[in-house]
Amino acid sequence: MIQYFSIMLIAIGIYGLLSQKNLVKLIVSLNIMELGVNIFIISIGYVADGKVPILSPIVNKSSMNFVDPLPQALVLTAIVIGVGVTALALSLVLKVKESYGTIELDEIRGDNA
Amino acid sequence: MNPTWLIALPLGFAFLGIFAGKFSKAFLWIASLANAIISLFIFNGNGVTSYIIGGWIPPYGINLVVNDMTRVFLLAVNLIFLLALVATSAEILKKDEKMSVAFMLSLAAINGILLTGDLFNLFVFLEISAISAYIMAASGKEAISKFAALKYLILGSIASSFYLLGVIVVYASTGTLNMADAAAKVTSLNPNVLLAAGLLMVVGLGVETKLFPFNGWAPDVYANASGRGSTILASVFPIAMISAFIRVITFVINSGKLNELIIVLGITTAIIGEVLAFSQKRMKKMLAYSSIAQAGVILMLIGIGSSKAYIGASMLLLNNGFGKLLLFSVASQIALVAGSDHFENVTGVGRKSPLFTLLFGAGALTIVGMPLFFGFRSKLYVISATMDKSLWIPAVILITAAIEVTYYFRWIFNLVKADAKLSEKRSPVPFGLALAGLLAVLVVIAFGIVPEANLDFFNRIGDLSIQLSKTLMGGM
Repeated sequence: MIQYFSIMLIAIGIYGLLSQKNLVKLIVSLNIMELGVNIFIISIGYVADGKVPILSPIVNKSSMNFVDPLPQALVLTAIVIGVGVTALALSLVLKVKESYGTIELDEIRGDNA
Repeated sequence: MNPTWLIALPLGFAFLGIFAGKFSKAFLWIASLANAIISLFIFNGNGVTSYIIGGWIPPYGINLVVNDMTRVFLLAVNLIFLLALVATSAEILKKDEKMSVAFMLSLAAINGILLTGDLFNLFVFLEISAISAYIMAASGKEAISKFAALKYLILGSIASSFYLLGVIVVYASTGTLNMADAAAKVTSLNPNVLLAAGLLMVVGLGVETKLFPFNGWAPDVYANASGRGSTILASVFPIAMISAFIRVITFVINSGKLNELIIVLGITTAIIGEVLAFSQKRMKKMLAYSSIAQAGVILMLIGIGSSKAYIGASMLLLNNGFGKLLLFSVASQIALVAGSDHFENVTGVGRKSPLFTLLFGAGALTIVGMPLFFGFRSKLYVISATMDKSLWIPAVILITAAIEVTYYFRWIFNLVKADAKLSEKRSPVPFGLALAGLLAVLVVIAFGIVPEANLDFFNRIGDLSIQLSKTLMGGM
């Protein structure tokens, strides 16, 4: 079920990327899309009534009913990468603002068509 | 020699370089020189070797894989990277020390892309290389380079999200991230699931390899980045990205429908690239479209997927690497000398300093496929490799070559045309560019005229592709 929501988030992100003209809004759309992907990954590891994937007195070796920990590790990496890319994107937007004086796509294009 | 050094060394130096101030430029030289030497050691060997990273046995942990294809690509990538640094050493970049960090990062990531045997690890390296590529793309003098870099960043981020989705679909249906393991397990998968995962990955990798509908970023980025940035982006990156494409799309996914789609997209890319290159008024933009066209031909060969097609593709890839190294470094230097790289501005520059013409001409001729150059051997091989598949693929290659010849010669003649407007003084060619350029010309000609027997390593790539498609992929 939660997979449908994540796909909706991805679609909203792509819609934003296609329709927005403001560079900062584009980056926000990008983040929404990445969020959708991350939720999708997390949902892959979901097990109904699953246990924490940590070896402990409560969850012993014989219990196979634990949540898949790998997607969570993957998402952690993906989140960190996403933060890095967003920071770089925002600094580029600053540079664009410095040199063009605007962050609206159609005004930038109008300048040097 | 353990190939982990190829990744660890530049990555470590990049980290130190952040704090080292002026020394980071020296670090860049040390890292690239060391990498070139290590890759030479790795090149002397054969067979498939797997290196376990982090102490977990492969299907569960990450491994690095050295096979005959990676050996050739590793040596080419590290050599071209070093040559590109030498060729553009005269250029003074803004914030030079900080830029060196980005270059070291890209070197580490590119070696990682070539070596890794894990789908998610590949994603991480793709992202590192993409981030350093965005920084390189923004390194130009003009404001437009920042805007081009931002466009590249947005497209690239969407692409990597799609690639990640594809990886997760593969993981969810096969339960593994190891390339070799996944390649063995996807064969029992529902073909529609496989096609969906494959399509997501083609979109993801298509942006970086400049496949047709996803390559809108390339011309602006290549044309406006700094000399060093554009040279490395155009010569080193395609080798790594197409290697990733080969390993993921054809070795792991290997879906028949997808391969047909790649052939069609590759041909479209090649034709559109050549036609647009023909009409360009700026030298570096023309080269950028030519790069797109070359990538199209190579991807089409990968789609065909026979052993001979892989050999042809890797020959074309190396030819493109050395050729674009020459062309982009010379074009950037000419743009510095002449003030801009517009068609009218560069008229007669080559007459003032003939070395420019020699280097540019050699690069252009090997890309075009003139006899005596490496390009001729690779294009001949490609045509004979595709002839038995169907007759219209070699026809497409010949037509694109004909368009290529026309516009490259127009630019060469333009360079040597007598022009009164140009000032009388000769513009000197920087020593680094002359040295690296002549070395690259030597390599290109040597590959063009040595007997077939000395190029055995290309045949090993072909053998390997057959091997891999059956069992051994990724060296588990």
